[in-house]
Amino acid sequence: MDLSDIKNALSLEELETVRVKLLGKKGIISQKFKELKNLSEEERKKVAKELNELKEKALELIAQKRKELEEKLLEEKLKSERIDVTLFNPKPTGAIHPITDTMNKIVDFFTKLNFSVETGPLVEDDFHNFEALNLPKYHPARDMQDTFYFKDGSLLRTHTSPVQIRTMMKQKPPIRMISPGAVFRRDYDLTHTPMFHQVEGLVVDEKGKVSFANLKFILETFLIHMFGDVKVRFRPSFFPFTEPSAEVDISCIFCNGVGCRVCSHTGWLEVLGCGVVDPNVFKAVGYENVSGYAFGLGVERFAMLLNKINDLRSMYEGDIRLMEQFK
Amino acid sequence: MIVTRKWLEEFIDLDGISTQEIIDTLNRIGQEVEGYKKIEIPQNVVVGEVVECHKHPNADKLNVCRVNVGDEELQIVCGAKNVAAGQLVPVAKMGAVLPGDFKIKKAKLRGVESVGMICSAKEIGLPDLNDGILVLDNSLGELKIGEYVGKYLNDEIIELGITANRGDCFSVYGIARELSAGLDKELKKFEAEIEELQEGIGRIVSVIKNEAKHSSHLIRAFEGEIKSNLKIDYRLALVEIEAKNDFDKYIKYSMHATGVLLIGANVGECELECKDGVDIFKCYGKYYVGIRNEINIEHTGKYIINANYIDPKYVSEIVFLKNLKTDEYFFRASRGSEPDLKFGIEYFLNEIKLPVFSGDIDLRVDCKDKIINVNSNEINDIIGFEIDEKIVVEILKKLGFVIESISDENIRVKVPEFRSDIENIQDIAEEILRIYGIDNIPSKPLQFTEADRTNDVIENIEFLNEIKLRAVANGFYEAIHFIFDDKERLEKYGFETLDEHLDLINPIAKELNTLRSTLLLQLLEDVQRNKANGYKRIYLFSSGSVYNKKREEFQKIAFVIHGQADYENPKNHGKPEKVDFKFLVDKISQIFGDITLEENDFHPIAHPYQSAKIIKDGKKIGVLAKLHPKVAKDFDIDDTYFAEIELDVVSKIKKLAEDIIRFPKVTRDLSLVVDKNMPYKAIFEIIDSLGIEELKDFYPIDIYDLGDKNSLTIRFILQADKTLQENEINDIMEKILNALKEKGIELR
Repeated sequence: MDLSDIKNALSLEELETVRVKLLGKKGIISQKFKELKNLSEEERKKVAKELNELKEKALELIAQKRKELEEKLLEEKLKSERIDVTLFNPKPTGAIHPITDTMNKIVDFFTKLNFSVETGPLVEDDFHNFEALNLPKYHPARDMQDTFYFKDGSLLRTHTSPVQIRTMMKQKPPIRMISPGAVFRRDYDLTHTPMFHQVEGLVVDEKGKVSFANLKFILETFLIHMFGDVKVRFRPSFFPFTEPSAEVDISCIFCNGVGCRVCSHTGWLEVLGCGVVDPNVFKAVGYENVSGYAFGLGVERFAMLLNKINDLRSMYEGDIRLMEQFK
Repeated sequence: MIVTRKWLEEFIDLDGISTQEIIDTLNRIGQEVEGYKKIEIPQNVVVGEVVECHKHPNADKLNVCRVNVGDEELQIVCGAKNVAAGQLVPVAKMGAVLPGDFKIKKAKLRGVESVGMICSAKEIGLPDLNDGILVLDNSLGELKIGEYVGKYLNDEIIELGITANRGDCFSVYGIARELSAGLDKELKKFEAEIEELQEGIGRIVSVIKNEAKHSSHLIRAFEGEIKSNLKIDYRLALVEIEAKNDFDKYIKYSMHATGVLLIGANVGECELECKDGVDIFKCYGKYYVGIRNEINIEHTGKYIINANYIDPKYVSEIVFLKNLKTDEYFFRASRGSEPDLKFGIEYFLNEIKLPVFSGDIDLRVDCKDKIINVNSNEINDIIGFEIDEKIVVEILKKLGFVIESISDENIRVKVPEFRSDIENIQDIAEEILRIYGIDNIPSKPLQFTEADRTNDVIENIEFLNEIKLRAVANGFYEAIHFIFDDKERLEKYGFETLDEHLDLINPIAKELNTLRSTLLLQLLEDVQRNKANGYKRIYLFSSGSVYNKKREEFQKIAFVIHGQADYENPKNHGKPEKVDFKFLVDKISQIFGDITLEENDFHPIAHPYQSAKIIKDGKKIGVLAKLHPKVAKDFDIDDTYFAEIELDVVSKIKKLAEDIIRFPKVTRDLSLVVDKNMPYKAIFEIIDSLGIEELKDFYPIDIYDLGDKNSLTIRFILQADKTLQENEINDIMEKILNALKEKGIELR
């Protein structure tokens, strides 16, 4: 009896035909079983045994072949469904503005160190923006800040310091706060925009408690957090609301302090202003026997350095050419 | 403020100190160095003497000179008009390389051989001092023929950013004084060489009235022809100061050197008066002391020089109160000019080198001594580090403070007159800190009491950030804009504008002349710009403050979408669908969660029939609409949709969970014939008002035109705390259908 037809079946249909031919009611094997009755008892036993074995074998081979053919069929189907996945590389859109991103990083750092976040109005008055900050009307340092004024004598805040004045007048020390937000100066050229963003910080506690050394610690920690492994340099400077005051530089992150175009070949980048709060500021808000430090930074400056953005003004034009680089 | 190394060396010995060290020292002690430049004249440029000078035989405009350069005599053809025999001039010899890689070689000019070049200031890398060649003189040192010119003219320029409190540093001497403290090096003693005449000043100058109340004056007189020299011209050019005439050059030069306010005048009768609080010096013209100088000088050969001082606070205040016109004198005076008038006047006379009438007119008033009690513990508390009292005393002495007495922890010090900025102990702490060196103060973490410092502000910031991140996940780019807008443009498009009496006085540009009342116009402008840059899928948002006409501040966030709803890809055969109303609705709901839309009444830039109010938690939070085609045309941006949302109104209510129903949902659809004018909202309300508990949700799934009516298919989702039976479901649907029938809505 030849079972090679099973092996040679090329499709499930062919296999079925072979099966019927062998095992169907009129199949060869079935016929052979029917013919058994014509045999002698002894012969019949022998042949029946052979036939049963043959039938078993045939069934097994068919099942095996079916499985094989089914798998082949599935494989062919899957193959026919093949797509070129590389055709579907997505073009994602959407990104947070680098100023927002930078601001968030800064705010996160300080809130994690238990600073509160305070905000205030953009349209301010002379007292909160200048007078209370030791900047009387005729003070020459007012030249440092060209101010937008309104017809009713209000002004657009030139720094976020008025928020500190408002907070001190509203709360009692100890104060531990930052004030992020937009500020305004009448200046518009390649390196200045009439609006930009600041984060300022203020810490006030009992007299003798808060020192310049504390200020140095928090700013060094902060700048290393933001810029990584940089050197931090404090240069004595002047701000009307702090005394002693300092400007803070980091070693240039582009040339590692060797000197390049970005750092004007000095090896240093100025990033912060800070100082011990001037007693006149405390006097203006009615605080006595306190000590404190304050600092302030420009968010755009940080964003430009951290993201290597060269053109300040491009950040205010909703320019997808810039933004899509951050998606 | 610009100083040069050689000029500094007039006041302090800098031998053996590199310029880098000077720069580092200045930065360290708070005088920020903003620029540095080295002036170095090329090698092989030497002092030459023009021995002979003749016209070129073949060229009118050229001269043939014989020039002695020490070891030889060169024939040089020179085109400058001002060349003449007897001059000492810079000569670039063979082999010299001038700026611009200009190599000096032997040349023939119109047939005459020329060996070398007589140079102008510019040609040897100096500022442009005069037309033609540079004529040297002995003002920068005795000239030696053949000597390298750089020996006299090489210098280094240091540009400083002087802070507003340090008027005492607006002079070369002031910077030298700082360096003296920073480098711990004595200043040189200044000694003037002045030729005094027998004749006294009283013979030619008289002060007929002196009623000045706020200023000190010291006056001297001199005679002769005032002539500038190379040093004055050169250094004024290096420090970028311009002067009207030679007298003015000496005045400006001496003011820059000493910081003393100086004015010149012709000799004669002078008058000092105080009018409306302003001191005025009159002498053939008026000088408003420390405010502005309007005296014109005639060249009569006899002149006076007046050194003066006025209290910086007083002059700042009077100028502010009376809104007076000012010039450079006010800049110096208001920041605190040098009070040592004798030094200023003698420096001037020493430079001008003309005979001086003997004696002076001294109208100086004594300054009140400023005494501060310095407690060294307090200083240490401010700085946060223990600095030995001896060191504190030493530093103060170096800075010119006079120690009156020391007892226990108290040091009584007299503030030097030139430090008008020092007023209290914190000012003193600053002085100690900057000279001691911030680098030498170890940083120290602050011990503080922890507290709950979270508040609404940080919650609002976090809420806004969450919205922003959702917008970004939905493909939007964030834009940031100035809070300014163009008033005319806001009015043109019908947006609210600030009341006139609350508007800006001094805007920086017309397009930024008022505060914005909407974020939308700026975003539309961005869409326009990005479209022009070739972008076809533009989704932007921005947030920030806007103002109503009363200038009250509100926080808004706005979104715009324009162009394609997808990027071009094989699936859409490079032709993605365009964005539409539903596209933006879906985005906004992804960002803000559960919102519903209602028809909007009016919005200034919305398509009147594709404009919706956005409702959330029962409150209107903003609008969502197609951009009006007229506006779209103005900006050249069709297919643009926008939404503007009032952040102050969006509630941050926390949702509470309800128990989950575990029985299956049943879905039924009804197709209705509805009036074309009937909004879906009306049908919604009919069904909603039935209050059927099992009806968990229903929504439109299809609408199409039947001619005079519309076919609307609504899908109903039913669910209860048990498995709903067929008859129960039928009852509910019957109830809905009956209610609709009552309003004339039939089943299709």
